[in-house]
Amino acid sequence: MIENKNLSSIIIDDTVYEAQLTKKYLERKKYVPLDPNKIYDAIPGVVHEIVARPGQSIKKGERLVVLEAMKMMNNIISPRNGKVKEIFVKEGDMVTKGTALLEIE
Amino acid sequence: MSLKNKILEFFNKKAKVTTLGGQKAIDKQYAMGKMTARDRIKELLDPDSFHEYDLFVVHHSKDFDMEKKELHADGVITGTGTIAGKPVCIFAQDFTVAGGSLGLMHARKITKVMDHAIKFGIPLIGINDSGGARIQEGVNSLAGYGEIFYRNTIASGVIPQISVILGPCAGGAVYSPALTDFVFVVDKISKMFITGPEVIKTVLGEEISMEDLGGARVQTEITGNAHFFAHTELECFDQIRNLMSYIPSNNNVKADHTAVKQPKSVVAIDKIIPAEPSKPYDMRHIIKAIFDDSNFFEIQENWAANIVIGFARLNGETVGIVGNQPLVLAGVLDVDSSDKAARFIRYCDAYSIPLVTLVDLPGYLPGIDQEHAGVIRHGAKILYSYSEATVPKVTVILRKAYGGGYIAMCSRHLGADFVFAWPTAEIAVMGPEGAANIIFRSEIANSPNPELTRKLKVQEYSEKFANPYVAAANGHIDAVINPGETRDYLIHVLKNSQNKTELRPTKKHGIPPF
Repeated sequence: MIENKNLSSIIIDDTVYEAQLTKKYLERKKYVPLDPNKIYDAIPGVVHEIVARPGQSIKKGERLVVLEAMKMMNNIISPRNGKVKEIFVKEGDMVTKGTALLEIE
Repeated sequence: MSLKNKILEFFNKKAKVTTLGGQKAIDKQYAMGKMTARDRIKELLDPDSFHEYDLFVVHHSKDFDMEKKELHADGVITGTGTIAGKPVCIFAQDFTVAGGSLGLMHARKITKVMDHAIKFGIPLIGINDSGGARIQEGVNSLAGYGEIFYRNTIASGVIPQISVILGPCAGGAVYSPALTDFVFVVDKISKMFITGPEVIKTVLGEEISMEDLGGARVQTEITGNAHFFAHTELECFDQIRNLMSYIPSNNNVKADHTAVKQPKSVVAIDKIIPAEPSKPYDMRHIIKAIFDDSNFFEIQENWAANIVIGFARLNGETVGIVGNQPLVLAGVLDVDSSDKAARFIRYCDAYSIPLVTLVDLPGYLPGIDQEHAGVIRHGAKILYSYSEATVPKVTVILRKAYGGGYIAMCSRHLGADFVFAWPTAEIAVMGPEGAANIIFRSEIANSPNPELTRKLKVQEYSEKFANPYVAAANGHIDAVINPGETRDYLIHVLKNSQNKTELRPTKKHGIPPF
């Protein structure tokens, strides 16, 4: 049984409550807003091919990267017209969900 | 063949197939710290109560030289027996035979005993210890899983289904336990996951042990997939027998009545609660002070501990308890605690177990992580389950009942039959601090001494609204009661509720915010 120990404080509606905090609460991820210019990976996989080149002008819908994930070759396409500013990954890289792949300006 | 020889032949055949996977495999099983499937059934059920079926089933697989392989009982022991004299159906996968792998006949043995359980209104206990699909049987093995899942779903809310994970239970296989009512795990023995460490390493390059990915602690502390944690298999079987004593055998009968025992010590329950609403206490002490023999059979003790759920007895009758836990995260509702309570409420409703709700919470947990995890959708589950439930519903507001939390915790408005409040109750739209800061914002800001004004306004709000009498004046609660009278009131109203009928519009089923 949990004893009344390890008390910390938690604020709800301006009131400070004494309570134990859970591991999940303490380890909750801090929110980091996404950079609208960056293309982020949505699925874990391996970068199979980088189609775009830095400095290249690209159109909306154009293929930027081919990602091998879940036994499929997935095309990562450009969400808008622009110019490739920087590519953060290289072919063969293992990437996880949320990894920034490249930046468009 | 003479009669004598026929009987002799039977004994020889039986002796052969009851040897599990042979001594070498059995020794290996023991070396892993695990009992065999037959040991487990023997330890769990009443002595000599087990009757086995389908012992002579053989697999039909012909590919990959499988036709030459003899798999005793096809790797799963099935039958019926009793626990505390009451019938149960049981299957136990046998890891010593082809790693307990599931082929079509193995699955058909399981589905046969499941069909029996459903037809006869008997609880089903499944002991899982299997490497997964029997790859050599290909799609037939998948068919087997599907046929089990289908029956798990059909049986849900009709007969209690208990899953005991005593070995690996991975991939598709783990969806059967997920569909059942209660999942039991044992330290260092249970391993549950959809994709194992190998796949994760290949795809993500991340290394993790089976234990850290889906061991007993992970499933009872982080995911909430399992309900009961035990250190040994024997402790786990005790927990199962204990659970069985609280629940009815099917949805048409009531749980057993037991001899009435008063709470152990005459605890002055009003002494447990600190006067100041921001100070914590352990809700389970209150529960023990109110219910029979001070017994509380807690479920999912180590997951989403900001809410406590479990069974207790009141005057000999099983009741389901849902209580906020001020000791952990001030007892807030959040994604996990809503999931935890909602499913339990539906369990109690399905099996005609009256619900007692003990309220002390400041509201929902604020946070970007909570909002992004869908606290709207998850929080709605608790509203849905309380509103949907037609079993007797009694609510006691001990201290704080603020805002959305007040509504969610089985308020009169969600159909509670009786709502009581202690004199310490604060039933209000929000806590005095927050409310005063909003209502008197400009007064506080424009005051020559804002801090003093704020303090006075908080006090003013507190005196006017942080009590049970505003709610009582509006009939939202039925009675303000002395904490010491709680047990008497609960016994009284549950006696009154014995023949409760509450009709709902005819429908196929609702669409809860899963």
